[in-house]
Amino acid sequence: MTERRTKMDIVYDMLHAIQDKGGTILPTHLLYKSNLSHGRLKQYVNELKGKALIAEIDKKGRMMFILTDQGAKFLANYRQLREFTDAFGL
Amino acid sequence: MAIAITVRGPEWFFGVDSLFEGFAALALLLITLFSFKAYRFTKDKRYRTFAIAFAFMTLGMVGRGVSDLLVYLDMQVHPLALIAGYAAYMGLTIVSLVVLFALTMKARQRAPLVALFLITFVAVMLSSSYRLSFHTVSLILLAFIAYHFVKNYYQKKSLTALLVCGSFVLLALTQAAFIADILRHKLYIIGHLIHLVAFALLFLALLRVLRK
Repeated sequence: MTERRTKMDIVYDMLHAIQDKGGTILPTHLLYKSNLSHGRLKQYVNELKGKALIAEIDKKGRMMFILTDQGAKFLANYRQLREFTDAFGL
Repeated sequence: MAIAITVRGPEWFFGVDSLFEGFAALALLLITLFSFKAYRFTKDKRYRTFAIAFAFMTLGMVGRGVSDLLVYLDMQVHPLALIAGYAAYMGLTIVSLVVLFALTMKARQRAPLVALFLITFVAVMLSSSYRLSFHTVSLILLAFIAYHFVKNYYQKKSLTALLVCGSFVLLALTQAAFIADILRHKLYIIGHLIHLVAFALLFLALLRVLRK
């Protein structure tokens, strides 16, 4: 059985999905990649936008999400944290 | 009351041990700082407890390093100052090992841990052979902690986990070497060398974390 994702894991999965797509992603792709319901995704997106980890842009008439510098910094910190936690078994 | 401080190891090694302890203190300080950073990032109390354990260990190591350095420099300090340095090292190390033990065993209740600390602390401080008691208590606690890291390595199978596991196994071995040194007077330098390698592994583990 897979472990339940923490809030931080979900945020990481969302930001990682955006980074994986080169820094911009369509909302439908983000929904698919983050494995969340539409309602929950909306909640998370609002929170991430509020914390300036992602931003909304208009690209050729299509709304997309981009990873901000702060979002990229969060990803780097999270990767270090995960390595640290795994190494010490915390 | 006469106060006697036994200085161990050959004379040529005085000062070198302080350097080793300085390096150990640096590695411990970096882990403390990273743990605090992790706590600020996540607000998860595990990281705060971990940081506190390593902060105690760092301070203890600084206390020991400074005391060893004072002996090496042959400075005319009051013997009580040296005793305070070594006592701080022992006391703070025991606190940190008990906290690490609690964290790795995922112990939730505080009372048994406070009791464990008091029993070990009093046993070491009141012992006529306090060094022997200290290294024996440390060996027991480190053996349990190292066992956790060995299990963790087999679960995670990462190089960083292996470095941490190796480091704590060596730290436990260091205590065994110091116990053997007290009984046979030959393993002081070997104990310090194992100590150095153990902290070098811990340092490497942290570098790997920071490279991510």
